[in-house]
Amino acid sequence: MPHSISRKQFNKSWKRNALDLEPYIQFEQEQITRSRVVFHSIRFNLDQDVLQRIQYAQEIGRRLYIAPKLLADLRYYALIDSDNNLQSDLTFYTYYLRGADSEALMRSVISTDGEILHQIKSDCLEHADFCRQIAAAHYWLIDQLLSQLRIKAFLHLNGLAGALSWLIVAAIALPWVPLLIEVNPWLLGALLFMALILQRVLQNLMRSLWPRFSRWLLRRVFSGLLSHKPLEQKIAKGILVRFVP
Amino acid sequence: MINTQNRKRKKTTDLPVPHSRPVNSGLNRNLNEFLQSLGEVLIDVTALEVNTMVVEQITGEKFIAWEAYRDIYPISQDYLEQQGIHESLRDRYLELRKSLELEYALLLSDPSSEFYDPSVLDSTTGENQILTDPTLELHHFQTRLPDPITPTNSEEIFKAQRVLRSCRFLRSLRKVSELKTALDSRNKALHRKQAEQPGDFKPEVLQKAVTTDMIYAQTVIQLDGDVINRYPQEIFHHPHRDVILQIHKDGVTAGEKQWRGLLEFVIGLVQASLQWGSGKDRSP
Repeated sequence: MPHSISRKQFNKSWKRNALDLEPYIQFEQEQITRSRVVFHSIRFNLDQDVLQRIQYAQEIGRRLYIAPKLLADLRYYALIDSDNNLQSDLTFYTYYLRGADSEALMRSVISTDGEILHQIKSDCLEHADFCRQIAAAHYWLIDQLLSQLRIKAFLHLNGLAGALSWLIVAAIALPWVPLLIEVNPWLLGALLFMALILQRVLQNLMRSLWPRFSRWLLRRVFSGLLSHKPLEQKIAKGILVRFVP
Repeated sequence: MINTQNRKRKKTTDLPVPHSRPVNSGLNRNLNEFLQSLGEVLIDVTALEVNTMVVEQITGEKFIAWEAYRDIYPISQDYLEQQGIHESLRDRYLELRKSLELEYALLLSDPSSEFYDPSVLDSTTGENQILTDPTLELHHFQTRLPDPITPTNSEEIFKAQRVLRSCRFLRSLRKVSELKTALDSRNKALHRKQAEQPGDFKPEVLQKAVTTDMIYAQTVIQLDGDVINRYPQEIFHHPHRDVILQIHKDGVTAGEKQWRGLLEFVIGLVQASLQWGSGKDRSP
């Protein structure tokens, strides 16, 4: 698949094929001061309809769609706790909505050091099938969220290398077009050939420099996230949302 | 599979050089501290442990370190009696309190820790007993943990606050606090059951009658690939045994994947952002 033409289409179709449950996933956090928010846990609010959609997605191997903002927030909370230390664990709750009432049926604490606690409400065990369905949905949602955390690459920047190299080539080649038409229109072919070669060289050069640049940027993002200054944190989060797929 | 990956992960922590680079900016200092605590966590990873607990209520209780510390610090035989904690649970409360004491002693005995105090290793005064004697009971030694309830001076409060900023101590405190919450619920349930059916209840009978707030299954997958499953006797009489075991089994499979996702993200990010240093940044 040539990536330049179909990345957008691919993203769109991926999004269409993935299950979007954003309204049912909630971060439980507390505003302590104007600039300080303490994150506590991630909460899934499920009902019978959502449960069935999750079950179907599991059966056909569909993934969960995670919006860039949600993913960036999740990455932030998975990394850093409210005191700017390494996050020690993530807690997930599954609430089930029956009419106007909702109650927590499952809770999982996943610690970075490899200790995992799954809790299930005892009443729930009385309805074995429902209980299995809840547990399967709960595990699947956590699994989907955590498995998409990993930063693959600065994909958007890679695409940018192609676009930028074309722009540079066009800026160099276009002023020559009227002159060449006057002299001999056949020379346009030669110009096009040279432009193509230049574009390839430029694109490859940029691609070879991107990893260095993206690592530098990633490091700035990382440092920014750990920073105590709200502005630096905000910039880092902004980069995380826009440039890190 | 977990085995090899964990080993790899441990090695990756040797790559970053948090101490060797001069700390010249606030950002670098934050990054260094972060890497140091990540290193500590990875060294602590000896196995993947999945516990499945059946609880009476899932409350959205939030962990506040100071509160949790103040809750656990005063635990002693007398305190448990005063609080009316059910007799059958007291040993478990004491065990929790002891594990926190041990964690603090480990922190004090670690030369690389900012809390290092060589006197904790002194065998002549018996200060090292908590580290060396696994059978030691809580009332047989003087606690070294800073007192958050009746501090003798402001230094004591400062010490308590400082220890609560240690990532390592906090991690232990979180786990101890989690288990204490379950014990508290179980304690209430035991008392309720006893009140419902007055008369002389044998402790074993009562323990069996309360089926909530306990770990029903535990799976430990060790780094060398050994898998250990542990179940309490109570699971065999539980009316919903099969569902619990099924949920636990699924929880182990899911848990392994979930943990891997979390760890791969943190380590991947650290690696990706530090590799840059291997070229221009690192001095020859």
